[in-house]
Amino acid sequence: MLKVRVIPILLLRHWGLEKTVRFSNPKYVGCPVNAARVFNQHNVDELILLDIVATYENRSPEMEVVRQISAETSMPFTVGGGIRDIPTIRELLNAGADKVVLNTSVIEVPGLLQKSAEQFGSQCIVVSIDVRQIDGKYEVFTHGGRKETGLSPVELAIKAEAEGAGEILITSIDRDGTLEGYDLDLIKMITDNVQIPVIACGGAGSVKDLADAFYKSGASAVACGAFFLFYGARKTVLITYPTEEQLLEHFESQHVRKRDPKKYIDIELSRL
Amino acid sequence: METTGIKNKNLRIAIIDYSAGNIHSVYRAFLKTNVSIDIVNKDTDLGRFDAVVMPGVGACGSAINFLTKTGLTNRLNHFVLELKKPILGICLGFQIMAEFSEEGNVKGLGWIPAKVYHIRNVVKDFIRVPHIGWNDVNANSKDLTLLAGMIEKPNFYFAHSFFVPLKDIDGSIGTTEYGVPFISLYQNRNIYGTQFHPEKSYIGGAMLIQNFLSEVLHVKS
Repeated sequence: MLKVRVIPILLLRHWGLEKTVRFSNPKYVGCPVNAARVFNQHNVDELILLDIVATYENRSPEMEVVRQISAETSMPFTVGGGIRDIPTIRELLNAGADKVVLNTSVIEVPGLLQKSAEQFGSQCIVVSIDVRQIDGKYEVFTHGGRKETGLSPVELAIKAEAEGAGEILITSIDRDGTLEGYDLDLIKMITDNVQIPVIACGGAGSVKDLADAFYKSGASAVACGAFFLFYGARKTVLITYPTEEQLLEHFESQHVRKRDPKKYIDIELSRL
Repeated sequence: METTGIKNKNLRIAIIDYSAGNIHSVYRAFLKTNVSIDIVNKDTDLGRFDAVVMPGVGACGSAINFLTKTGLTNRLNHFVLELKKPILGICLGFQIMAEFSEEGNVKGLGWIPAKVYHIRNVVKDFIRVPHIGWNDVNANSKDLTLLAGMIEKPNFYFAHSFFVPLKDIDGSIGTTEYGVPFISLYQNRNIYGTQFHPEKSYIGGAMLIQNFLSEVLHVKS
């Protein structure tokens, strides 16, 4: 049985790791390479790294950060931010990314999504959709939440799937960094309308929230920022990741990955 | 750990680079085992290698085209069918060892008597494709040495839209359930394949790679 994927999502500004609330008030969290190393030690299911100012500054993600993270880790690793052409995707894959995230360019660079899916395979291309609720209506924003598009997220998700996207990363800007729980309605709207995996993002603050996105909204994966980066009411920076036991409190065992290295090794340690 | 590492040092491994994407993580996973590694991306005599690894990047058609164009298909056939030396195919590298793939409707290398289908053409119920993430691998036999030392049903990382559905097949296999059972691990004489990515599967993947190298060492001695 396919397991739920629990994914730390790291936001990058140049060489610094940041965390936002509703896409604003960025707080410096630390060094992205160090954070990735710690998540790797936690055996995370996958890691997503997004350069949140790349599009705005009209450049691609910091390649050297990608290179360093991939050199020091052995986890599935997804990278996004400011990607507008095929050579950048190739460069990111060569730097060690397994998948790339397209967001603004899905709307602004016609044909890019289709071409990249053909060239690298759908399983390599994640389309990220950032959504804000305006007068009760869901609307897509690009440029790291700065630019209104007038598009509905469902419309864009269906279009992205048709053009070859392998996954949708759906983020509620209104819930980002709030720890109030995912926007379950928004996620369900997307999962109901596409047949590719959907990654829920924005607002997770507990393992219960993760299970809700998985069981109630049909998400295949759950991404978390603040939940895994901060600890306690004073929001001290502390990297955490739920253990198998913590996940099992809210997930059925068939949906929880067996990841404890100790459980992997039967007896024959000597073989390694 | 130390002793095997030292033994590995005598092994010479070729990693095939189809120039279609990154083989970086596979390279790094093997680098950690102390073997000596050559990246092969043009017509090269493979006879001096103890084993060949075919990573899983790009699309089936372009990988096959690349191997044919460079002359590597003949070299690989010689290595696998005549020299009978060990080869490990990962993801796409596993799929191109089959007879045929629906991805681009191309003939494969034909070493595994099986066909590769799009998941959606096989699974009739609602299913999300690609199959991405961690899933169980069930062993059909105790002879599956690639899983030696691991717990029952270990979990590995998958990312693919095409697969080899389960049918009668010669060899020891591991199966995984995604709508239907499919072949996620294949082992027959000198031919080894995984649909999942051991290089992205932490300790379980590292163990599988070392298990493969132990087989290579065994053949060599």
